[in-house]
Amino acid sequence: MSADITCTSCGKRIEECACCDEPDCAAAVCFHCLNVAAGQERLQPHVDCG
Amino acid sequence: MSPRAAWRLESLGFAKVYDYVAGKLDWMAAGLPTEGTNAQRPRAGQVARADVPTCGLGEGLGAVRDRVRGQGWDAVVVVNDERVVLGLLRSKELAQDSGLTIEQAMRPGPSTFRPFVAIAEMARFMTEHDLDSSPITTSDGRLVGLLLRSDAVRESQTE
Repeated sequence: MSADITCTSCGKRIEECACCDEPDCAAAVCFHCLNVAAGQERLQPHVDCG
Repeated sequence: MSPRAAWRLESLGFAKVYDYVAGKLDWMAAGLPTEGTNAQRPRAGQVARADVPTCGLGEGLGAVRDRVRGQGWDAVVVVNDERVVLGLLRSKELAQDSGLTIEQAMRPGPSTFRPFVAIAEMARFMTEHDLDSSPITTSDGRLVGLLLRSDAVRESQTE
């Protein structure tokens, strides 16, 4: 894997932008940060179901 | 709803209570109805074009391009028999050599979004990343439609 860009949200090194699939995206975002931003994934405040 | 919420409703006297094990996001991703303030906001699945042309992996690019452009489109979604999204061809991919197969020409495994994503968010993502279109799919990858940036931006401005 040639990780050349970083997620603009969390700084994780990624191969391509999870939003546009481009390896040179200036607004690159990783899969996790994109899903959280889109509301497709919820941040879990606790792991024991409260 | 969560198992605890289901048990609580039963304790309040509701007789028909079900625990949707896959969770709320999966429920919304399937395009099923929701209630509450946010339910009134336009979402990707409502604005996406369900009549987007589709094709299969083994078809020829030249024939697909003629068909798609004849229908007034500049994009086609590659699906299997279950209507699961396998690839996408936008104008750049459609402009390649006519002798290629769809499998050779397509952009494989394109990023997809779920139908419940707010249209304002979609407009922002698509503008920020210069995306002309984005496939909208259910949690199990089935095509709901193709969201065009022009539609997303227009709808988000009327919110």
